[in-house]
Amino acid sequence: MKASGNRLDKVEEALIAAHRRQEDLQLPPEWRQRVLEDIKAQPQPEAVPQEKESKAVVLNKFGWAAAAFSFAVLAAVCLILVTLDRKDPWVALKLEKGTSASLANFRLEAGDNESGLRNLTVTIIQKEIKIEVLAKDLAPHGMLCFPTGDVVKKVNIPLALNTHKLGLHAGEVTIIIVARDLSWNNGFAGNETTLKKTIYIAHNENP
Amino acid sequence: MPDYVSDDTQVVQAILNGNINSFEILMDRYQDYVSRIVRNHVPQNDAPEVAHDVFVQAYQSLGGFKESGKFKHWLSKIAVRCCHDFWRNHYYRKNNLVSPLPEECRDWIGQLLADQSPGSDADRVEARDLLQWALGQLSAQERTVLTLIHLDEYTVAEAADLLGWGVIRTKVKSHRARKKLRKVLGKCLP
Repeated sequence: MKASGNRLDKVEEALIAAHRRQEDLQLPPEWRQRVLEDIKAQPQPEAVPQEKESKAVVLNKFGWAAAAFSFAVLAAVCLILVTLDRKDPWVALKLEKGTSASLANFRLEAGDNESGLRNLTVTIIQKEIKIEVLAKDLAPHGMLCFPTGDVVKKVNIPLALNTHKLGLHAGEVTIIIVARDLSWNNGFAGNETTLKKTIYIAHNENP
Repeated sequence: MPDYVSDDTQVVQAILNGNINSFEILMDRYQDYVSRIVRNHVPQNDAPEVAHDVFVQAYQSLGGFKESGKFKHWLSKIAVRCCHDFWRNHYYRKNNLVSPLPEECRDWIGQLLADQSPGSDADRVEARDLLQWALGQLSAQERTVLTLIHLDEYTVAEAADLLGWGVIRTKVKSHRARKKLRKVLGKCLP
């Protein structure tokens, strides 16, 4: 096999050498005249207008730029989809000591370990009464993609509900807590967690 | 009377302005250069006709010559493409029929391998015939790229530029062409 390869190399080398040792081409005496006659029979060449060429070059460059831009956008979208925070924030409401019939003390804890919290609202509903007792905007300053402040990952807020001041009566009360994070999920609206808790006011005394 | 001092761009401009006789200046300057390119690619008998086509095509395309480029390089691209077109038409006409290897070429291989080939003119003719026969088994593209890179020692980048191909394509085609040529030659070995 190797011997066959060596023999092939030898033949190949000889052929290349023969190719390179070719004599100069001798053009026939009438050749030049014939070329000139044929050229004179051709229509006069015209310079391609610079403007047309420029347009073609610009179009070509624009095409490449558009392709590069599309690729960059596609790559960015893929990156965002891969790294997108799809986890909902967490919320916990604990009853604290010192709670009486007219004053309910809670501790509200919420957080989001990935993108951080955007806002937090607490609403109380009793029959036709609907009161928003807390609305906290936790989003950092600046644009959503370029925040200038710190992202809030966790909050711990004491929540004291004076049933008398809020105009609540004895009976069932629903507390609705909504937390939303800074994720771009759900069309940039973020992930949302809703916690509903029902408490019972035994007797609403005046303070 | 042609002005030999003018550079190529000025000559081209003069032709575009209607002075057709100035084309003789370009012919004087590049006739030998074009002949050398053509001689390396096509058979001796067909070379004058292909060289003729190179100059006629160059004249027809003069309007597209960019002032920033070198005329010699531009002309060499036309020459290589004319040679490529020659083989494309040739293969098309002969319908890819492959003739058997001439007996003299077979003898020449035997003598060469037996170290009895002194490198005379006769040997050279037979070697060239064998090379032409082997190249005849390749496609026009393979033949052109192989001639440029392996026989005429152009770099892959230069060959790619002359053919108007990408570097990777040129490299792959050249590699495949050489492999095919060696396969053809391998079948001729005694």
